[in-house]
Amino acid sequence: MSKVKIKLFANLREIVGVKEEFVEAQSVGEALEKLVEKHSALKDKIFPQGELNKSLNIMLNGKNTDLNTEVREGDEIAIFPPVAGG
Amino acid sequence: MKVITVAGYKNSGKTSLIEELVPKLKKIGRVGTVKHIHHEDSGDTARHMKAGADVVIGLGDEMRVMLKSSELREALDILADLGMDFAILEGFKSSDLPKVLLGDADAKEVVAKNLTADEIIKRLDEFPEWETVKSMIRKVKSSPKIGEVGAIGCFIGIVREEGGTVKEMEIEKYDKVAERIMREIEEEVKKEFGVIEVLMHHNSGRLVGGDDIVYIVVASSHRKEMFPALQSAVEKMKERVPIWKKEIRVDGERWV
Repeated sequence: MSKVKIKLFANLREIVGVKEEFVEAQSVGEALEKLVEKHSALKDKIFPQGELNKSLNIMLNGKNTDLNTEVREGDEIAIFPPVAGG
Repeated sequence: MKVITVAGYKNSGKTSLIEELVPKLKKIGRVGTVKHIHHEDSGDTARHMKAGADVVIGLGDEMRVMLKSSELREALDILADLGMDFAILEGFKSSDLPKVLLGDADAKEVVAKNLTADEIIKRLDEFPEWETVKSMIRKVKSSPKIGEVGAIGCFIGIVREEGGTVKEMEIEKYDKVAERIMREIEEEVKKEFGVIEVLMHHNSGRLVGGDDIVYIVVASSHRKEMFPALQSAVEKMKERVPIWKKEIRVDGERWV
């Protein structure tokens, strides 16, 4: 089990009220599940109907990732809606 | 900007004429004056200011600029336009700018307390970049390959006011990652289109209608490759850079 940081952005951040959370997990998927356990208001956004919301982007240490990827102590996960810069 | 020069010997009535001219022109637009200073400022610059000039510059061996503004943003824009690489602000505890706090005052966005000069210099990446259109062009022109450049194109994204419906915009960035991806896009576009320089800067925080959101500048030998490179850079930025915009409208808020 590793302690990882999950950074939240845009509407996800607003729903939870914090910019980041810390969870213990072995994989990206597990980390997100723990996040949703801590903040149930995120459940519908991240796992609507039990499946990962495909429109969300998930990054691990700044690179796109998937739920199965293992995490290590100190890793940084970011979860956010489609980007909208410019 | 229209430039009107009033010349003549001392005591020919130049300042008096300018005192008449300033308020009349102020009815049509903003007015700045430049007073040639020979030895000391004899008080003419004060007369220009009193006549209503928005900016008065006394120009002699050095330039003294007086502005009727108390906006920190304007001061920063001026420094950036003038090509400063660093702006050091003294004070401004309650601004949103990341700061070094000395002592125990109440302040927002404190990066660290009681740092020494050397420590600050080691931690420069924790302080923000401030850019204007002009500072971006200057940056491009300071590229070592500027000698080959014949064309510079610039895209500016601004906050669309929609006739006043959009009052403010909040821009959120996944900071370090957004910067890294913008640098990647810059290199990609350079290679793909054979242009000499590509620079991007995206603002964050609170903006109001009409404010600049993003600058993208492309410098190339010829205009032929500049236009498609610029377009590609804009599209790639919009597709890949982790930044989000929230419109604060008269009828509520929404993430764009």
